[in-house]
Amino acid sequence: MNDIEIAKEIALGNQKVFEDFFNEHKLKVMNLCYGMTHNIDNAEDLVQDIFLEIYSSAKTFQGKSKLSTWLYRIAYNKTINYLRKEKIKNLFVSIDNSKQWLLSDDRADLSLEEREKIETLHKVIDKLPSKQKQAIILFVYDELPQKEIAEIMDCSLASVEVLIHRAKKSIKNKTDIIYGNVIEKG
Amino acid sequence: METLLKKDRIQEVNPYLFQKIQTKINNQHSISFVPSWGLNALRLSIITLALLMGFNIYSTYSSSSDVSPIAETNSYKQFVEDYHFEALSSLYPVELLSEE
Repeated sequence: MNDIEIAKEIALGNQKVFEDFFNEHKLKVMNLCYGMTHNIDNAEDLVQDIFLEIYSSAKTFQGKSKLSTWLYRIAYNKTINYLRKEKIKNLFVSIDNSKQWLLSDDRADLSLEEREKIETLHKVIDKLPSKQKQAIILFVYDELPQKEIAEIMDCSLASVEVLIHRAKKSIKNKTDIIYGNVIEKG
Repeated sequence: METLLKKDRIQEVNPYLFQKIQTKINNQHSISFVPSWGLNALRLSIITLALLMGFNIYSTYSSSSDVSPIAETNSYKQFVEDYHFEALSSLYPVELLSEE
């Protein structure tokens, strides 16, 4: 079954095709949302919204890109919109309260040291310019090829290469400074 | 850095997630009691109404701006004298006008 046929079946309400499509892409979509929000519950809510959107707008898929690219583009836009709304909400909530959930209970699979390091990485990633953050998350969390990232972000392959390179460099510099300071303090 | 971030990747998704999506889809179906063609018809009528109102307002203003003062030439004065009573006859009874 090709992409257009899959989209058509989903639009017609074929639950089996929709479930297969969901199972095929759920992890990558979840990782995209988690990478951007750093919170499993919020990522799950976003995944639900994204697949609802896919279900209701499958009839509009024209096959100009791959169905998976179309899905990631929707996921990416939904997550960006969600983060924008959260940013506005957080203006009225103290930062300490809004960040309390960070890696506290939901990542029991990681050691305490790993959690702390990842938490630092999350903070560094959040401070990256928006485009760099999006590119690095699609690259690292979703392991998408740079060409597909370019299609999702609607920019050239060269731009994606530059964005990822700068993001990596920036993360490395900032984490080096943070860990350097920790060692100096110790 | 990449190794750590890869460790941070989610390895499995809540097994009930698809059920939750299904429930939401079913709820959407039960909520949307107005058929889609009904919504389209409603949209179309609102647009038509707005266009008609716009046209009405436009024609009101455009017709009022077309009125230009009439030059009071001799022929105009003569015309007014000749048809004075006829013009007023729709406002006053003819008998009253002829008494004047």
